[in-house]
Amino acid sequence: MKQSDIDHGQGAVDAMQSAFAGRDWAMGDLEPGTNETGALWLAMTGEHDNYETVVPDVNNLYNAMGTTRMKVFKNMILADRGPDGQIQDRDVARTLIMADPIAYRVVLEQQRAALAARKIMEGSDVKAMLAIDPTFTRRERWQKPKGYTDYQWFLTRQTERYLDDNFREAESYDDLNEEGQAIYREAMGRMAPHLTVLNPNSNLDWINHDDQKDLRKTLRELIGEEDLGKKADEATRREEEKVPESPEVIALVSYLRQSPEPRIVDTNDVLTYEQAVRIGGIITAAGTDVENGWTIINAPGDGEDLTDDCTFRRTGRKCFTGATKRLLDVRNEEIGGSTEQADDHLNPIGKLHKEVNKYKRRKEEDFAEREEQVKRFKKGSDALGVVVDKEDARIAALQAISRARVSIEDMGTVASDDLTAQGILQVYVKNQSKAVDNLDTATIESRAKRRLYRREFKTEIADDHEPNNLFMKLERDPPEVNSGGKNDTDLSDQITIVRQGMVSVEDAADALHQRYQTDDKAVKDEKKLWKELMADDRNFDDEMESELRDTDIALKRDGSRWVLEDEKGNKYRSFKDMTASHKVASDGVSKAKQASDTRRLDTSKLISPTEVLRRLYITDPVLENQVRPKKERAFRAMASALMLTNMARNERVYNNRMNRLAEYARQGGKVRQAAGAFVDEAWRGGTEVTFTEYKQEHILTDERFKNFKDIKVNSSIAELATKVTKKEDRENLKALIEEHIRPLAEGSIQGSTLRLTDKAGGFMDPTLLLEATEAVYYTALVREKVGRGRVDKPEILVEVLKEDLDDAPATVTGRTVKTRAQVQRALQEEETAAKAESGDDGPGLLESVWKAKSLGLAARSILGALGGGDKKKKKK
Amino acid sequence: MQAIKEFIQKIIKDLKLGKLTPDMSKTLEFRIEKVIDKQIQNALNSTLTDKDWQVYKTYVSEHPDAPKEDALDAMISNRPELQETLEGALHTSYNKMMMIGDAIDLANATADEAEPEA
Repeated sequence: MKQSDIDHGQGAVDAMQSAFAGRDWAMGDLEPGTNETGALWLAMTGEHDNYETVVPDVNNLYNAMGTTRMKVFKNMILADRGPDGQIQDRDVARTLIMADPIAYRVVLEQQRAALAARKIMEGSDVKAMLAIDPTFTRRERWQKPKGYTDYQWFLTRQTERYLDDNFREAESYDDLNEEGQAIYREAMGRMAPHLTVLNPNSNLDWINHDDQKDLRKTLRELIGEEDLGKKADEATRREEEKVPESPEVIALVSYLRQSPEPRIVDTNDVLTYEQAVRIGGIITAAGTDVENGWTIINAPGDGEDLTDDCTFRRTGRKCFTGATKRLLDVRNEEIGGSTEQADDHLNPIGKLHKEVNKYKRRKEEDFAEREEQVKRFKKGSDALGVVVDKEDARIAALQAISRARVSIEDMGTVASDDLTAQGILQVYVKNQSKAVDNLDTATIESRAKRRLYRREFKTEIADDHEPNNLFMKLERDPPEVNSGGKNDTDLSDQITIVRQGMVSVEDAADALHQRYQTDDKAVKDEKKLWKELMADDRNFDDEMESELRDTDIALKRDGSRWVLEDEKGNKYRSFKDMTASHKVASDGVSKAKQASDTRRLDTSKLISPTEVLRRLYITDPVLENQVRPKKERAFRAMASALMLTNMARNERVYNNRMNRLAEYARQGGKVRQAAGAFVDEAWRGGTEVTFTEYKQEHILTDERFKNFKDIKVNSSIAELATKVTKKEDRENLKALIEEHIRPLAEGSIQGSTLRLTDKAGGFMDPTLLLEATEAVYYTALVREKVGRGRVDKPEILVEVLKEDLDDAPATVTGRTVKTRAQVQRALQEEETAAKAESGDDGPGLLESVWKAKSLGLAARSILGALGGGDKKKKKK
Repeated sequence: MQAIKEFIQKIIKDLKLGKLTPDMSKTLEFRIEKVIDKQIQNALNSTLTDKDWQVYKTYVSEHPDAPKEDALDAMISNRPELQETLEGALHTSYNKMMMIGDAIDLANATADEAEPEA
């Protein structure tokens, strides 16, 4: 095995790319702002040649909201959230939607942004732009020019890298072909555009302190607003103060402390742990090992001293880089000792880490010297015998594709170097094409490099001025494979599959399955592959399937929830619970538990995909007949469902989606379509929400919704907001929310005639629409109350609440409420009135609830999640 | 009650309302309680089944002297997902309040922008 190159920048993105490229392992260079920039970089390497605006940091945007610079942010792409982790995705989205629903199309989360950005850019005027300094030259690639901030230098290197990857033989501007020159000019002409979208008061703690000052100064100069100077200084002072720990940090630290095994977490991005878990497939693609209880959330950078990170100081737990972990594994095997013992052997590496880290902090040191340190680190790694099976990386890449639903086409455009594209091919060739299995890795590599890169990629793309979509080229002129006609066919078939829009591994497997459907071995292999892909759901195996087939299981509705009931009448909330109880494949269950323990989502609370499928089998003989004989369809649905594990914000959302998926299928919907739509929706971030009338007569004949008549498929939530300009509109929107959207979001979909679909007609998660429309509603309501002037927040809050609840009885309004008893009386009056109206004879529910322990427990739970609570009690 | 009061205070704190007069503080508490009430009521109404109410009534009949909240606790503990329903209602309440707070902040910011300080 060869030692791979060390990548620079983009953290998890690089990890993913490296895995796809078949590299041994990846090391991300944790530069400030890399997440968002990396994501946008991915967008840039897509099919678009005009780049306008990049907002490097949501935090900056967020902080600048409401300032005079707001308008600058129109038509932009947002990615990720700020490094302090305080800004929740949906908070930003909500704020933006409220701010200007027309102008903003919000794309959140770093990995998702890359795909969503492309989607947005297609058919819209949203562009992305790269920041770069015109003094940059390729020959100075490792020298940070004087006056550069780290961030500028990072962007510079990204551009350089792009040019290098795509126009490797060019030594000067003149050597670049037209496309390269165009890119270069584009970059030159947009010097440091991020400065124009920042405010001197922005939170800039994603770059180091010294550079912050420089940047603020530059910002002030650029903006030309002297009066902002004082504020900027004040902002600088504030940023020096300690940022309070967010709930995520508290939760993470708690998690790490309780964890029986060491955990590896990206030091630069620990606060986005939940986010990281959701996209774990990608992040763990760097050839890491979750099987043994390790959670590697990122592959930290070259020379990063993790022990220096404040989070880990707090936990007191030693953490290692992805590469170091591998070293530990290898050494552990060699000496047969514990990880701790292995660690002792690795002290030189740790020391080197510290050296490099200290070195990084010394501003007078030269960047090139740091590179030397990195080289030494690499050498040291070699000396210790780092070997990582490439096959692991490929499998990890497959898992990444499956979980993340990154389309191969997207990956093609994501690819910023030939190795990545080649790696993707390898993934498919090696794992899914039996015929090409005979080709050794070196052959594929050399072929890909020689033919795909030099001939296809370089010359033809340049000549045609087409995007660097390698696969288009591959399809049009498939590379020759010289080991026989069959291989030719297989490889070109693979390419064709790719070109036809392979949206996931499941499609690839589908195509392969069709090809090999008469070949038992191929089917068996495919099944094995899928089992690998579904390593998260170890409950599902033949033995278990057989066991349960012989068990009399009924699926019953228990309130709003489905439960499984065995022959003895025992109820189980999930298939997993049932198998555990029945002691079926206890080993598998224990492994599953071990795996689930490594996830943030509490899998014990999740409805497993297996359960969903089984529910379909059990409850619907027709569907069972459709599904069971065609095992692969079930697998596809399961794989899609598995992806939701990573996508869902929490267990409740996940379970809701699972339930609706099952319900949708039960109503005759196509499982795959539904599951796919869920996943697509998760990727889209829910911003491309569209209406369609399931039964048009209901919605359209309702006079109140007349303004929403023309909201049809492809209408966006932003368009919805344009319909809410008057009080009447707002009230009608409220009616629409309460009568249709909320029932959908809360799961009682039978009660509404409204269906939400995406452009492809897939079923849409309405919870996102609910959030968005409520945001629109409250914006309109507040604007009504506020008028044009500034208002007192508490007062207007009370007004809004009164209006919103439509509940302002004369006996309470305007009266100072002094005691809980008064409140209770007022509530009881209203409750009584409500009961009289609704005929509800429930026994004083609200009054009882407030006194019930259950509500206290619920409140305590929420407080814990929000980072609040009774600290006095803890002191005891 | 202590926890729910803390929860309400947490909402008020996170709304960043600055210093409040005692009257305003109580008024807000009341309003927030009503929001919570409404969320809980909605959530429970859509979740409780006849079977749940049967548990409730059975408890009341078997413990005629016990407070109603005990019966409610019994009903909820009989079906654990109801506890999640309550948590969901509180979460929704919190989000709703924050959403409104954000909207007001934004409106004020817009007003500031329209009429910059002299």
